[in-house]
Amino acid sequence: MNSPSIEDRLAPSDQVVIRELSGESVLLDLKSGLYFGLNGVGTRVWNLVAQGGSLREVNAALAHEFEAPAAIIEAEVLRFAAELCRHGLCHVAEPR
Amino acid sequence: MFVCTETPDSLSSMRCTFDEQHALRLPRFLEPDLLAYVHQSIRAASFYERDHEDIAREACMCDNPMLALLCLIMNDTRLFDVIRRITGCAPIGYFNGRIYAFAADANHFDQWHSDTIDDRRIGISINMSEGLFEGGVFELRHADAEATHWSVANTGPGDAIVFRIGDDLLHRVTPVVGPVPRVAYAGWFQGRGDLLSLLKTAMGATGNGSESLQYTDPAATT
Repeated sequence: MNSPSIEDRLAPSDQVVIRELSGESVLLDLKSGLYFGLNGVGTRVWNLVAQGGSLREVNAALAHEFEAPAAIIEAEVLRFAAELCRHGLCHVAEPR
Repeated sequence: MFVCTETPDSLSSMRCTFDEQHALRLPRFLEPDLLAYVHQSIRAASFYERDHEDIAREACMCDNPMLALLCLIMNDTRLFDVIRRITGCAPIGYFNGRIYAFAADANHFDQWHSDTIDDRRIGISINMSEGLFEGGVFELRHADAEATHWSVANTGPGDAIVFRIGDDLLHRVTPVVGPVPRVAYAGWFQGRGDLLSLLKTAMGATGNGSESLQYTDPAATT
């Protein structure tokens, strides 16, 4: 599976249920029964992804909210997006 | 995922009834689509015989994705708030439950017991049976009395009963006598613990990024 690029949009799997708990989240993959934990930043990324923005737009939103070099934020967004896809929690959406 | 359609007046009325009975039936606690998914999963699930000292013997469902989903659904602070409004119990941190089956031909039984361990505050039993079972009546009584204070068969699909946990109260389920097993999702609203902390403990992680966990009962890790 190719890793998503910064221009891609991700679509959450319809087999995933999310529950936010105290600013963090638990994702449950109904196919596997696996739980995944997201910290506060991961939860923010998930919510932005679920809103349908491209990873570039996710990146821009995070750059607004967090004081970190843009290159580091982008690298982290891409790494995290690749992890979500690798676990089947998201997939790269068809271009609009 | 949790939606309460009761009005404040209705919740107040339920509270009065609960105060008197120490228990209450909540019709259609699970919505039909979720119940259909649960039924489908139960048909495919594995069960093992579980003995709890001399108190009970039951067939207990092995962990699976549906149980993990129910765990997420039940560990909802909005549900905890409603349960507190109905029962007046102290703050709830965690819900811990299991699915079990009682069958007539399997020597399944449940003796009078109180469940007063692990900071349990309120018990709940949700009917997951497919079909109308016979027997399997939930009974509640005061510890110092022989007469049953409240009882219900709870045969409505997806209906729940909630009941108070306390040293002065005992409950049991009578044996099933017919061909249809009694299947229920039963558990406790507890004061101590919270789902996130229990999952993190089970993951052995700090919650950074993404960590995976094969579902097992989170409470089993404490």
